Amino acid sequence: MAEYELNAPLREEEIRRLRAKDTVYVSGEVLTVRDMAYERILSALDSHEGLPFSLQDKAIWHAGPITKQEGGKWKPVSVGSTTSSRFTGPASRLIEKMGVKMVIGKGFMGPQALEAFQKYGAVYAHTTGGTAAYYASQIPEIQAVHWLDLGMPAAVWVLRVKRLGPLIVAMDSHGKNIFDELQSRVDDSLKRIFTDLKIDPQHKYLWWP
Amino acid sequence: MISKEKLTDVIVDLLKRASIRLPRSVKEELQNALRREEEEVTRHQLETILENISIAEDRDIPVCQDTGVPIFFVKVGRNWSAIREAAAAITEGTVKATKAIPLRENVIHPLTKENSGTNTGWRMPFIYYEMTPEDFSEIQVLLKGFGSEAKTSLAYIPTSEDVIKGTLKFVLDCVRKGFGEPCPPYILGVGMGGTSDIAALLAKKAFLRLPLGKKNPDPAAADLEEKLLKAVNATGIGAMGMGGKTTALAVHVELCGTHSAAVPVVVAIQCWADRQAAVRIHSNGTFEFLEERKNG
Repeated sequence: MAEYELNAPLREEEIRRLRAKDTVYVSGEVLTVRDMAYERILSALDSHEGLPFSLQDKAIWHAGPITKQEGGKWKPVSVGSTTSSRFTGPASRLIEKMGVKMVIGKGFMGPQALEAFQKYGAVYAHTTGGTAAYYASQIPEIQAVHWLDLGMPAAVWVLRVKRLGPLIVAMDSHGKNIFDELQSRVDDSLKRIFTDLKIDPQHKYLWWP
Repeated sequence: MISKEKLTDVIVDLLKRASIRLPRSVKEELQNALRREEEEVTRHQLETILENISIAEDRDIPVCQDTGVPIFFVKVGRNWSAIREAAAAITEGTVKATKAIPLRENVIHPLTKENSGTNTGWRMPFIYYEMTPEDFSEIQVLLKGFGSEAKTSLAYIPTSEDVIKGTLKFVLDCVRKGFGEPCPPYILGVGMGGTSDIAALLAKKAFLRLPLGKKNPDPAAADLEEKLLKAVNATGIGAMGMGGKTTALAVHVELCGTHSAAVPVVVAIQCWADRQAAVRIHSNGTFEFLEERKNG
């Protein structure tokens, strides 16, 4: 469980060095990408249109920030992660087609993402959910915002971050996923719990669904 | 009597309190969770959560970026003349608070995805009204984030089954499926009985109960609360699903009489960032914000 300081944009060799359970701090440029931004990026990709920003070698963050304007400049107020599992498909495509090197978020990502991380050299870095006041203090500047017409939470915010973290490498580029082990431990516990409570896990207690 | 302008200001203040400061018993339970925890990675999740709570309070900024959708629970006391202005004041207060705090502009049209930019529109903020014979009225707000909201589940357990075992199994299945996604350590609300809509409302009301861990006065419900809390924490999911001793800070069950055929059960989850606040308004127009109020 090593600790790394990374500067984004990222290089493949430094991503390949990371192993599941490592701790990383990221400095440099991070772009927020969430539901409607994914939709727009992928539709641009499908119709071979350009984007107003590049994702090559970038770190993207599943976050919908609260921001405010002060003296004509955008300032971060609270910025934290949204649940990443719903982006498994689209994130995998961004890694494959657009060269994204790091995905920052919370919770699981699916096997399709793990495959993309392995194949193209990327990682999934896990944050603590909901701690948006804490992470906002690691964002000295908002460099730009794109697609504000999607609304504040869905726009693409280009952040300059300083030692964003600690982030835990939850899925690495070598096929390792920390959640596999955590889940099998919980499944073992559940077996014991059901036995103690005299619950038959195969029995259908429900009428609906 | 309280004027509409004053009531609007009270709503802004209410939303500010809810989005920035967590209830005392929630913070205490998070500290207890840290005290119990042995896994290093998980301890770190809890430390970050507690540090985040302090930063939010010190800097007067929302504790989580997902300031949710605003749901209001209004208890209308006897002779509350301001009831005529209440809905307008709640809406206007939400618009103002969205700019002033600021809250994230979350509310969209469910089909066109148009964002009003004010957290209002298309029936939002949603208001539940309840009559009370008391001399005072109360307005409570819940800012419901969607990481936990999108894990709500409904099931019907036929009365031919062991309802307690069925509920335990259903809740544990929901907890396993959600794993770390609804931001544990969380508060589980279980609504049982009535019809699906009643069970869903009761599940939300259940996690609004403060102080955290206060037992349901019905002994059967209190017994189930205890069984559920023990079982959920025995899963070892832990803070943010990183493995550990505390998955739920509390489990609250609320009951309603139901049909002899089946019991509707709704499991609702409130993430650790339990954003709620309440204000009591007296008939003479004075008001007080309630810190750890009684449930009801």
